[in-house]
This record gives sequence, structure tokens and C-alpha cells, in this order.
Amino acid sequence: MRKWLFALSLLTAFFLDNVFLNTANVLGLRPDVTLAMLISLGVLLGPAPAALTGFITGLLADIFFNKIVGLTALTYMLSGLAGGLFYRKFYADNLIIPTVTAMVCSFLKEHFFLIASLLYGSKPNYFAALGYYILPCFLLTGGVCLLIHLFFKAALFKPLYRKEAIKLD
Amino acid sequence: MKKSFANKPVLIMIIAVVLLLVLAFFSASSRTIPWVESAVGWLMRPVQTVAYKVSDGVSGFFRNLFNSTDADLENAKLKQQLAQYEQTKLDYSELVKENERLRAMLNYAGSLGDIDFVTAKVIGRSNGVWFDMITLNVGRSRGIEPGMPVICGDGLVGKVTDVGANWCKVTSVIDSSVTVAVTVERTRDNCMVRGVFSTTNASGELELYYLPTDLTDLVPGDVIMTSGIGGIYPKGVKVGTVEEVMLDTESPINAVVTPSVDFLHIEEVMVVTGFGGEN
Repeated sequence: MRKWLFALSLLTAFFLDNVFLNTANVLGLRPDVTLAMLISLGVLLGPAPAALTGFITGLLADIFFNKIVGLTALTYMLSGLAGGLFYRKFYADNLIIPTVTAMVCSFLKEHFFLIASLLYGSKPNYFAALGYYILPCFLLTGGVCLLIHLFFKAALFKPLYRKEAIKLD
Repeated sequence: MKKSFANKPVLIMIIAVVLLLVLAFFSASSRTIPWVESAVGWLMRPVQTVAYKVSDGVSGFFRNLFNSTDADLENAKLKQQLAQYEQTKLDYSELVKENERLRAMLNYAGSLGDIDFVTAKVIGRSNGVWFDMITLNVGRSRGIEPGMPVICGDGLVGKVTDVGANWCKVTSVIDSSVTVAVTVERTRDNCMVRGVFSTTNASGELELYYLPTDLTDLVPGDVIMTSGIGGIYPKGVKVGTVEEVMLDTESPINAVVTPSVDFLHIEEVMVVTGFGGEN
């Protein structure tokens, strides 16, 4: 059941990021739902599953929608790994860790893409991009990560903790 | 050092990072899609098509909700009473709209002369603001090749860059890496337009360059068409309309052009098959 919920959540995040939020967004601003989910997974499950999930979802997004194949896969994989750095180092109830990690990863991811677009010959105004896109997306991603972490803890991981607690008793 | 290499996950991660960087480097240049990528695309395309339709339906619902007037509310009431009838009516209206769009595309294609084309539906868009790409539901099986121009009833959309078995990716003209050779319709001056990176204007903007500034009298409202120079795009396809003229400034940009295509709401396009393919 937990695996199905996890897969469904991931599919929903993929759909939201790559299809829905591309057509329905306000002023082009959108949270990176998949990245937020990967951070939360990393904190709750550890670096290896989060990084692997990030690699697969990123690669799929790249193949279908993006110009450079590998960039999203790389950023998602490293984001999963970054979330995993806090695995079992803090209480899973801690909401600040995943939120801040998601914000930092979103900030770095957008800069990574900014550099790629510069290499492609685009001439973005850095401060305009920072003010109008990167920072709002950074805040949105942090907020979404907080909600996702709360959902994952309640829906996916609470039963597991309960089971482990019963075993320990 | 020795310890970190003894750690298998770290080693796997380093290899993955290096491989992805190599992949990104090679995919950034012109390439042929490997069979694995093509096969994954083939398998996932139906899912993607359904997902795009669902998304469009949901966003359409919310658009209608926020734009509701008394007439809309009354209409909604009637819809409840005559659900079946209204559904048929909606289907009919959707078909009429689609028919109008396709007819406009056909007329437009006819006005461009004797060109062969394949009609396609937009099934995806690139994520984020850094690149402007759209995914179409046609691919190699329908004769699509990289480099083929893509147009719609309103004008030039872009160029096919990646092709899978039954899908392809199109780099739109508003992408900041794309340059198009154009002509000012009224004055017949040849110049270039280039996509402008914008975080605020999602429908895109183009900048016009290399106009003979002392010889031209470009004015806002002038229509910009493809010139056909370079052989990448067919001649005479509408690209946009001049929004702002900047001939007397030091800037290399001569004008700002609004694209004729509404990239946010584009649904059907035509891939010009007899033109510009690389193979």
C-alpha cells in the first residue's frame, strides 16, 4: 500500500510539474513539486532511494519536455542526495530541515539552468530573473516541500513507525 | 580518498553525475535520438497525451470559474438540468472550434504555396522559463525529421529539434537561442529576429536586429515575415508585428516584435515535411 501511495504521489508530482503547472500558473511562477518530494523522500528514506527516484523522474522529464537531456536528472538526483544527508540525523518531525533544503536545492537548480541557458546564447538579466522567477520559485518550492513532508509523514510513514514501535515493545 | 572509493554508493553517484554531464553536453548539440530514448517516448506518449488533456480540462474549469458572469451562472444551472444535452453541445462546440482552427491552418498553408505538411497536436511544454520547447504527437513514423519548420494558422512556431518514433520536440522561435532571418513586409528590408529571455512575459517577445537604420522607416504595426534566407524556414511565414521601434538608440536592437503565435494557448500545429529536414 505504502509503495502504491508513494508511486502515485510521484506520478502526481511529475504530472503537476511537467504538464499542469506549465499551462496553469501565475506569471510563470511555479513550485518544483518533484524536487520538493525528492527532498522529503531523502529525509525520510535515505539518500539512495531518493537519488535513484530523482534520476529516473528527471530523465523522463528531460526526454519528453526539455532541451538538454540529463540536466534535470542531474539536479533531481543531487537534490535527493541532499535530502538524504539528513536521513536519521534529525527527527522526521522536523519541518525546517526539508523546507530549507528544498529552498536551497531549488535556488541551485535554477542557477544551474540559468548557466545552461547562458551557454546556449541566451542573455538573461540576472537580477530580473532572480527577483521575478528564482526567488519566488524558491519560496514556493519550500512551502510545497513543507506540505509534502507533512503529508508523507501522516499518510505514508506514520503506519510504519507505529509498526516498528509495536515490534520494539 | 581510498576510503571514499571503497564506499560503493559514493562511487556510483560520482559515475552517475559524470555520465549525466556527458549526456547533457552531447544532447545540447544537434543529435540523433538513441533508441532507448525513442522507445521510452513511444511507451509514455499515450500517458502524456491523456495527462495533457486532463490538465487542459482542469485549468479550463478554473478559468471558467473565475470568469463567471450572471450568464455563466445561469448557463451552469441549465447545464445541471440538461447535463446530457450540454455535454453534447460542448463536444459539438469543441469540434467546431477545432474545425475552425484546422481550416485556418489549411488556408494558411494554402497561402504559402505548394507545401507538404503533417498536422500535429501539442502534448507538452518545457519545464521552467529557461528554454521554450513544445512536444508534439508526431514523430519519425510520420516522416518528421530534425530541422523541419513548424507553423500554425497564426504564423511561425519554430523548428523540430529532436524526433522520436511517435513524438518530437520543437524549439519555438521565442527561445532565446533561436535566430530567424526575416523581412519587413512593407519595406522589404531584410533583418534578423531573436527570442528574448523573459521571466515575466510567458507569451514571449522577439528582438529585431541588423536593420539598415539610416535607410528604413520601420513603424509600430509593421508585419515581420520569414525571408527564406538560409533555407531553414519557408519564405513568407508571418513571424510577428513590430511593437516598439528603437532606430535612433545606441542599442544593437532595432525593434521589439510581438510574435503572431500565442504560444501559451497553441494546440494544433503543422510540421512542414518537404522543407528543411536534415536527413
